[in-house]
Amino acid sequence: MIDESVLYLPVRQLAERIRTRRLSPVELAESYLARSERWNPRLNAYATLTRERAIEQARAAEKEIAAGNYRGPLHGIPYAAKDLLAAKGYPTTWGAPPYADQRFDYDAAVIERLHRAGAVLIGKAAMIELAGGLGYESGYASLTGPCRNPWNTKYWTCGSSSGSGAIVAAGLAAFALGSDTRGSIICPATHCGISGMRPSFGRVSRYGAMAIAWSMDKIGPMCRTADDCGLVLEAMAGHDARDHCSLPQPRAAFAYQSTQTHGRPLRIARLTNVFPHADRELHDAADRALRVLEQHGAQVSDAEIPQGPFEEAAELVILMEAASAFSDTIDSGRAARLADPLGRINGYASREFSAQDYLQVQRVRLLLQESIDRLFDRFDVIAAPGEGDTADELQPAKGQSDSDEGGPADSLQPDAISSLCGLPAVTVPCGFDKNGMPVGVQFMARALDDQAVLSAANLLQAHTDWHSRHPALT
Amino acid sequence: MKRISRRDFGQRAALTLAGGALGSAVMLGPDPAQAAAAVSPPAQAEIAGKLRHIFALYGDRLSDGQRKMLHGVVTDQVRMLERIRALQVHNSDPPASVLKLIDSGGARSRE
Repeated sequence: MIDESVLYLPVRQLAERIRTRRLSPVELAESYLARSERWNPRLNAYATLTRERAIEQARAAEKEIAAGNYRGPLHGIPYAAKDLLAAKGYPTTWGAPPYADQRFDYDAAVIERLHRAGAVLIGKAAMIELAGGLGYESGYASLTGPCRNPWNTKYWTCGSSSGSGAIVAAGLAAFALGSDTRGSIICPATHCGISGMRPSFGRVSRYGAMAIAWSMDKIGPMCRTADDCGLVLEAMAGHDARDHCSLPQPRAAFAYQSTQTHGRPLRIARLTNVFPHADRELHDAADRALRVLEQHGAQVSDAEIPQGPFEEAAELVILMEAASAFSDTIDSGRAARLADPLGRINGYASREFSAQDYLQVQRVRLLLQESIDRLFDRFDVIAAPGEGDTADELQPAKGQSDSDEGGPADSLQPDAISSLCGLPAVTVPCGFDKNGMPVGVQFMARALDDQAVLSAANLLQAHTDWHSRHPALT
Repeated sequence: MKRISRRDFGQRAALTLAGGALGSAVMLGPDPAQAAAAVSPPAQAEIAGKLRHIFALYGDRLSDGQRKMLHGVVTDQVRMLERIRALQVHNSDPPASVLKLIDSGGARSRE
């Protein structure tokens, strides 16, 4: 069996060993499967392991490579896909009890594309039910139970790509796919201490993926390094006529460059008005990361996100579109079988939105897009802490609406802004909090400038080693 | 989506409206202090109306506890809507959703 240190290698290094036939794709898949079988009962990271398909794909990869037909850096690389992505022959539960037996007889577009790149699907990653589309209160809101954070199993991973975060952090696969409507890649990647990327809206096809909010859903990679995110994104990106929001070629395509600049030194904005209520240690960790970038050639200066109801607009768009996407789940009464008390009833409220309100929020959204876009006239990327908090201890839902909870809330959360406006973002680890849980820094860029966020993260990871640390599983 | 705290939207609204940095296209709405206050009478009426409609349609499915939760959920939603409705848009400001012509080159599967 392959040593654990190899299982934690980035895709790029695994790929080089596979290309030069120093590492067998079959052995690699077997090792990740064995490790996943051992640790999944502890972590609840997988909904399903796709062992038969994995071994079949790994054998095919090994044979092709031996014959001199190497397809590229994902050839023979094992990965997990969030369980809202259709995979022929296996359940696709959307993480939700009402869909526990659901199956599709085709593959989602991203799984097709990764198959063409030679990647090996080893499992479907656990997730928050319906990716949180009908709301949820706790990490227990999943068909497979609470996903546990590999850094401390008393803590949650964040959601909704919970399993994808835990799988990568625990070395159960080389990378994973998540989806992000509003923070569902960025948050679990940050809380699990891995690198996670939300691509520009429309760059990656959602065909075969469960919809929450058509105008906001994105699929992206969750990896050990930002460089790996670039490799995976390049393989997944591209126009797909089956996704109505897919960008036309050549805008959808992404030719990743493993660089640390942007044709010139990166111009980075340090956002000073986000997460005002976050612990100081989160801001301090992000500031230290930015100082590393500055020491290595980036130009860092302070800036503010323009004020605006980004939070409200993002949440309303999601609630409104999810009420339509899940109308059958709501009307049929199947929502009552969801695990989370809020998810069981939230859809009834969301069905009350008017067409007038939907159009108003979408019109305001365009104005908000324009206001944030102007910031990128001066900067290549804008930076902020990965999240406004670190991982929470797992606690079951209380079954109470939080409308009357006291305490302040952050008015400007970067993931609401970038999600609402379809901007690319990447989060990478940059330290640990006082409880030993990961802390991250995130970079966002102008729509379609996915390369900029990766270049900034590459620069940081070239000069720090946070991304190479991993938890001691117990 | 990640779990979202819907705490204290009144406070958020005050911050949002006080900032006013969106540019000339967006005219700010009511006084921030007013926005930060408790739910306005029109909003209270809207909340009551929505709840009546929900209970008329789905009341037989709901426990007392769920009805109480729904009150909180609808209240939050109306607070958010007030923030969005307060922003003035002009006739030529389109929604961020457009009809795209279907590309006949790719038949959409319905498996």
